[in-house]
Amino acid sequence: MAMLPALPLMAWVAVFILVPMGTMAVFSLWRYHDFDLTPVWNLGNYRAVLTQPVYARVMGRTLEIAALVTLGCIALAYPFAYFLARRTQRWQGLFLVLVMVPFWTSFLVRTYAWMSILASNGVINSVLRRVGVVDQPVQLLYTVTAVVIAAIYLYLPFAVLSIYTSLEKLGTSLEEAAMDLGAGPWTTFRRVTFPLSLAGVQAAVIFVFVPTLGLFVTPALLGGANATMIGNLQVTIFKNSLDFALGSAVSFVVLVVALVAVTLFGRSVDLERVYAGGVGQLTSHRSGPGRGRVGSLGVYAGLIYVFLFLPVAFLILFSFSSAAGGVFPPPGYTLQWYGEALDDPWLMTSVWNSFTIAVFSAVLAVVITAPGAYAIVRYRFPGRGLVRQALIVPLIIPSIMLGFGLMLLFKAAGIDLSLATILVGHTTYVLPYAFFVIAAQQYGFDRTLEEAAMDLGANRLRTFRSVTLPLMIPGLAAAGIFAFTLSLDEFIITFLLTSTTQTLPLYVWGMLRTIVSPTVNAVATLIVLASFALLGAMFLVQTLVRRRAPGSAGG
Amino acid sequence: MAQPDLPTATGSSRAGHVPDLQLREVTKRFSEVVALDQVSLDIERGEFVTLLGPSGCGKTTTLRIVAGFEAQTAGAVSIRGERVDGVPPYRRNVNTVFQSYALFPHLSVFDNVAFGLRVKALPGAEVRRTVGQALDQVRLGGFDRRRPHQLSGGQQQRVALARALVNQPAILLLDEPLGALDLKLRKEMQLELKRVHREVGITFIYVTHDQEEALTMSDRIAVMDAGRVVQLGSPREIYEQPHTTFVANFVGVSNLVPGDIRDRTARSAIIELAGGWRLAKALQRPPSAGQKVLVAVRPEKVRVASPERGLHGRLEDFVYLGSRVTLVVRLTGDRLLHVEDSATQLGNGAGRIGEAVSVEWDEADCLVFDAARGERIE
Repeated sequence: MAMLPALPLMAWVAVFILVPMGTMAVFSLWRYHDFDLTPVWNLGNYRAVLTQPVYARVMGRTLEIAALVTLGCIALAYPFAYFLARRTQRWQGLFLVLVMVPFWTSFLVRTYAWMSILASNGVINSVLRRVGVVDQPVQLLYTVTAVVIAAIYLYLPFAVLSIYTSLEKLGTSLEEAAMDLGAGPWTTFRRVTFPLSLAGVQAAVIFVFVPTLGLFVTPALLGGANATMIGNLQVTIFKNSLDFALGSAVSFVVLVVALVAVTLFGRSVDLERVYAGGVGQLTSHRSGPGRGRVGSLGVYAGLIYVFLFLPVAFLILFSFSSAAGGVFPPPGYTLQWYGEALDDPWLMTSVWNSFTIAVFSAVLAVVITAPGAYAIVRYRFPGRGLVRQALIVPLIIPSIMLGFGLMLLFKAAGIDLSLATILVGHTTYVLPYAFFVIAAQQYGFDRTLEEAAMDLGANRLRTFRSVTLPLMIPGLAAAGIFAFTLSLDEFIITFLLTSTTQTLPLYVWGMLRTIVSPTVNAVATLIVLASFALLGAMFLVQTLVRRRAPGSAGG
Repeated sequence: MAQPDLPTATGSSRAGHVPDLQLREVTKRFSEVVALDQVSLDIERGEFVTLLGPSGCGKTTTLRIVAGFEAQTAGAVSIRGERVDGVPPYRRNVNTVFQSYALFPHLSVFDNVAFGLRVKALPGAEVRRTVGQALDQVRLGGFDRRRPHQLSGGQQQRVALARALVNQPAILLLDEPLGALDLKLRKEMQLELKRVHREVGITFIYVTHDQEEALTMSDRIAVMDAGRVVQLGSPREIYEQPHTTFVANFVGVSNLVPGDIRDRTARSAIIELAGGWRLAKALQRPPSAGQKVLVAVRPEKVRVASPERGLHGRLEDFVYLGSRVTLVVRLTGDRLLHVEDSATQLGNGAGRIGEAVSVEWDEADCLVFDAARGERIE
């Protein structure tokens, strides 16, 4: 009986997360021969993955890139996060939002931005040649370095947020105690602050390393043939050769690597709180006496902000440039690219599709997860633990795996790819995020309010209607908005599950793959502007909702 | 320790009347832990009864069982003569003022107070009238539109009170409602609650760990310890005639001095206290010679004696409390004894720490307890 509200969630998780993973596991042990998948149990696929030079090389390169990106992110993020946590008091909220703002613009756009910067006629080369350092353009694009730089750029906010959160939670009292006992600033950092912030560093490792394993777009756009990563290989297998057995085996090898990383580094991470905390951070309001010592740390932070915003700034600049490519400085200015962009009916269709899909997935995700979270937090019933574990899975594996799993599911069930399959993919993708935001709010919910309602004569249904539900609304809204923005920017799952439907990320990808016309810059800029508008709207909604019901749990 | 015999109401039971609340052998177990152990209690209509005890004694559990948020493991609960086992909270004629007030943050003060009335679907005009009266009664008239977060702690508490009372329950339960308030406000609210109780006339069951609060407000106090009611009586009875050393210690400060029975007659005993002082105490049932006892005496009943009499010791500390002064004396045999009196009587103790001092008290002012079982010897 208590289980009833959680049934839709359990059903969805079972069908669209557990079954696909299980199917992939099974397929990885079967044989694929002559375009046919036969249930002959064998380890041949795994043997191929682990021994054949192609796979070994690509896998090795992927691990290398992931390691470099992780180290780079953490090295860059730590001082920056320290600055945010310890040097900014009054405007801390604003600083945090500024870090997240580039993150909220489309990741395709952000990856593409580096193309203009690193291209032969791009920003760096233009400047180097103009200044006279080199005569010929330096090969920056289509290298492993390009992929590493772009990936660091993409995932830096994750690392910053994780480390910042743990430093923030730490508070200053322990550091003050150390200094009181005679430890200087460096010793205090070395022996007190850093060891205690390791939880955040470990979380950062997971949030950077795992997604990097599944990178597809970045190596495809920036890496060329020299920097193929395992994700590219997998897409080739799944989409072109259709050898689902091999593809599944490759996926599982990557999954194992991801799980090893999570096990090693994930012990101190409470994923449920982190995602809820991540969303909450954006809108929490910090005030206090200003402690703004700028110093060298502040200069460093400034550089990081420049690093975060400059690529997008260039993008916007080039959208007005009369030259193709990233010639810097632009020879002239024009609005022609905008004209071309807005003339394209495909663009409008894809925007409309993205929007509709996002609304649908967000609403569906919230409708499924809200009663599920309500029941899971309050009651005990069989399957409760399993559902929660299963919901963590999509968060700790590269999202490309979800895509492969669903591809397999639809293939095995004989369902053709369509808009419906995209919807299922998006909903499944955003489901865990929605769940953990709502569940976190439920954990913090003041139960005595429900007891008070019952004490005053309201039965369970009336209590839910008059007290629980109104107070849940902020959390539901936050979850819905979060899901909406995630869906808008989703590329890889859509890429794998679409037949003819075009979403905005797919449209941009198409533009980038066919002919790199400067129109892309205009489209990209429009997307950036739309993201800002969306972010502002989200902020506004959160503030308004919070003002209506202040003090409500988890708000 | 056997459950002591509990008197029902002060005065003889009237034939045919029904207590507002009746607990019979109520037991509550939470897996291994026994929170309530066969608690029996009668509370009469219109009484203000306080459940008093330290954390974990079961007082809040009792309240929650009466409200319907917990079900007892064994025993019977009756409200106005009717058994309420299994009746959910929303069908009991009982309302609670929660420790955290539990005001609905998304509703105004008016909507909070009106909540119970609206559940009963009362007509709008009546709701407005009743809520207005209730707010006036707690002196928050005009606060209708405010939200809980805009109110001070004391104001929130009064809204919680109005919200509960407006439903005219048979019994009002209050779970440490004044805990979050500062001292001055708490004292004001204590008097406020007493006034409301007088005006409204219904049964109040109050839970607190603050013994002074219990003494101030209650008609009767049920002192609880480890899931049992240890003593039930008026504040005066509890303070002046505690049944056990626990009660003597919990309510007010008690000095407990160990002693041995040296001799006895039919109606008295000679007690030799550590330190050599012999005290002749009148007792109904004097214990036999050799038995170990604890003599309890309140600090305000102890006085400084001339050096050759009473108990001997050294002045260890001197506490100045403004209106009163406490001497802390270390007796021979290492016990500490508190002596309390007005500042004028005991004078300025500065400079006298370490000096030898003797104390004594009248035999009528002390109580004798069995040392092993903590029960009072009459």
